[in-house]
Amino acid sequence: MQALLDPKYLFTFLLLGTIVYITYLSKRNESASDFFVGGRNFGWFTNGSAIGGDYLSAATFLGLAGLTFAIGYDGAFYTFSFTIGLTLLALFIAGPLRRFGAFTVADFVAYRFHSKRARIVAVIVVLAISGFYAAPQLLGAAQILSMFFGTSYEFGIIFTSVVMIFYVGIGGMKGTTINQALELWIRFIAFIVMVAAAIYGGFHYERILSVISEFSGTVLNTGAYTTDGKDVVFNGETWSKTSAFNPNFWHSASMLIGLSLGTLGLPHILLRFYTNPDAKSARKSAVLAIGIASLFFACAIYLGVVGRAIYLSGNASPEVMQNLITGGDNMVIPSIATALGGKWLLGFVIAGAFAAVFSNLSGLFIASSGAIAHDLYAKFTKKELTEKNRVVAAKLAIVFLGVFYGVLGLFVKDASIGHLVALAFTVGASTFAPIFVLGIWWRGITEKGAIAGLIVGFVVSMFMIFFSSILPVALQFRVPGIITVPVGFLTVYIVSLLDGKVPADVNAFMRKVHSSEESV
Amino acid sequence: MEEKKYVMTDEPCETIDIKKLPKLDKKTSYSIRTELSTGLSLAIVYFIFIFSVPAINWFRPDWAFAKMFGGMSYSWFLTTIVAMAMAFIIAYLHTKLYERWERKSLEMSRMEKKENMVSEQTSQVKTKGATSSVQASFLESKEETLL
Repeated sequence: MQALLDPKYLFTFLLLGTIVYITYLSKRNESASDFFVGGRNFGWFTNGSAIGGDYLSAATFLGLAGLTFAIGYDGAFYTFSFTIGLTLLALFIAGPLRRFGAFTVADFVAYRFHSKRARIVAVIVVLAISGFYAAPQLLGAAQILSMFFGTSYEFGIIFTSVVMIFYVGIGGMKGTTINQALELWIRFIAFIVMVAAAIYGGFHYERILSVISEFSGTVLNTGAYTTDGKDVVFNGETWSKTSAFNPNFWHSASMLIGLSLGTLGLPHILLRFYTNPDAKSARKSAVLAIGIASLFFACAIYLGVVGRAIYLSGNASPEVMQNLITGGDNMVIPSIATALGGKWLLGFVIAGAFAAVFSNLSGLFIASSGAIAHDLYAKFTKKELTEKNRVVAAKLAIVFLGVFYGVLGLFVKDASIGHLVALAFTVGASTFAPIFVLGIWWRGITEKGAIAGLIVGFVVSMFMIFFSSILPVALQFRVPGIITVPVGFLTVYIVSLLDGKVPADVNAFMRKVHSSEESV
Repeated sequence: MEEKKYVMTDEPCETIDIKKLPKLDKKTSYSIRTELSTGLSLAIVYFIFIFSVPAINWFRPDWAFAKMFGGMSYSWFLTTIVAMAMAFIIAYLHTKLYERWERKSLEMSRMEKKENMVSEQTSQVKTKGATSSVQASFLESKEETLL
C-alpha cells in the first residue's frame, strides 16, 4: 500500500485508470467507420492533439533531450529535422487527403489507380513501416518499466502488448483518439512543468550554453560511476558545434531529407487526416499539431542542455549523477526531473513516458489493423461482409498484431531505438511520400509507376540501412534519405512516363480532391 | 470525349494514354494551380531556410558558431528557436492563405450561379415571347447589375 503512494506508482495507475475509463466509454464501435476513422466526428482540437500524440513518441519524449545531452548541437539538429515533416504534410497532403475520404492508407493507393495489386504492395509497406516503428516503441516501454519498476524486459514487452490489445481493440479509433489527445497533454504539461522548474532554478538558456561551451577538462564527482574510476573528461566547444553525429554537410542534408519527408509516409499519421470532419478541420488540426510539436521539440532541446549543465556542475545528488553517467540517453529526462522537482516530478514524467508509448503504439495498431482487416481480409476474402463483421475482423487483427509486435519486440532487445525509428522514416520517405505527393498533384502517375515506386523505394531503403557497410564510405549514411528519396520519386516518375496509361477517371479524381468543399 | 465519373473502387478501370487525356476543366485547374503555388512558394521559403542551416554550419562555421548573446550562437538560435517558430508560421500562413482563396472561390461560384440563373430566366422570357418588352428590359438590367 505504501508503495502505491509513491508518485511513480500513483501517476502511472492514474494514467492506466483513465485509459481504462475512456476506453470503456468509447467501446461502442458499431460501424467500420466508427472503428477505423472514429466516425469522422472529431473536431480539429481533438484531432490536432491526437496527431501530436501519434507523432511525439517515447523516442521523442525521452530520446531527443538525451541526444542533445549526449552529443550537443548535432542532437539539436536531429530534433530540428523532425519538426519539418508535419509542416510539409499540412502544405501538400492534409486537405486533399481528407477530401478524398477513405479508411486506410492503402485505400488511397488502391482507389487512385483502381488496382488490387497496388493495394497488396501498399499493405506490405504499411505493415513493414508500422513494424519498424512499433518494435522500438515496445523496446522503449520495456526499458522504462525495467528502469523504474524493476521488471524484466520480457515482462515489459508482454505487459505493453496486452495493454495495447485492450486499449485499441475495445476503443477503436474513437477511444484511441481521445486517449491520444489526453496523453499528449500529459507529457506536454510534464515538459512545461520541467521547463518552468528549470528557469525558476536559474538555468537560463544562453547562460548555461555559455557555461557548457566554455567548459574544458574533467567533470567533478564522476569518477565514482565510471568503470576506470577516473573523472569524465568533457570538451564544451566540440559539444556546442556540429560534427559529433554528422561528419559532413551531405550527412546533415540526408538526415533533413529523410526525416522531413518520412513524416509524409508514416501510415499512422496519414490515417489521422481521415478522422477530421472536413478538409478545413484537417488543415487546422495539422497547424495545432505543428504548434504543439514545435514547442515540445524546443523544450526537449532546452532540457537536454539543462541536463548537461546539471551534470557539469557536479552538484547533483549521487543518484542523479549516476543515472546521467550510466543510464544512457533515455535516463536524461527522468534524471533532470529528479534533480529539479524530486520524486513527484519524476512520477509525473514516468506517466508522461508511458503516455508517449501508448499513444504512439495505439496509432500504429489502428493503422496496421486497418491494413489487415480492411485492406486484406475485407477486400480479398469475403466481399459481402457486414459492418459488424468488419469490426470483429479488425479486433482480431489487433490481437494478432499485439502478438506479432510483441514477438518483434523480444527480438530487438539490443537494437538501437534511434536506428529503428530512422528506418521507419526512411522507408516512409522513399515509398508513400512519392506516391502521395505525386498521386495528389500529378495526373500522369500510373498504376505501374506507383507499384514500381513502392517496391524500389522499399528495397533500396532497406538495403541502404541494413547493408550500408558494404557500400563505399561516402555512401554510408545514418539516414540515407539523400539517396533513397530521389530514387523513390524518380522511379515513380520514370516508370509512369514510360507506361503512359493513366486511369480514365483521373480528371474526376482531381476534381474530388482539389475542389473546395463549400463549392462542391 | 465524355469524362468518366470517379468511383472509389479498386476494381480495374479503363485506362487512357496520357497524351489523349482531356484537359482539366478551368475551375479545377485553377484550384490546383492556386493550391499548389501557395504550398510551393511557402515550401521554397521554408526549404531555403532549412538547408541554409547545415550549409552555414559546414561552409561558414566561424559565423555559424559565433556567439550572439551569452553562449547562444547563431546556429543554436536558428536551429532550436527560429526553426521551431518557422514550422508553425509556415503552416499557419498556409491555412490562412488557403482560407482566403477558398472564400474568394466560393464567392466566385455563387456569382456564377446567380449569373446563370438570371441569364436562364432572360432566355426563357425571350423564347416564350409572352412577356412584355418592359419585363425583358427589367431582367436584362438586373443581369447587367449583377455582372
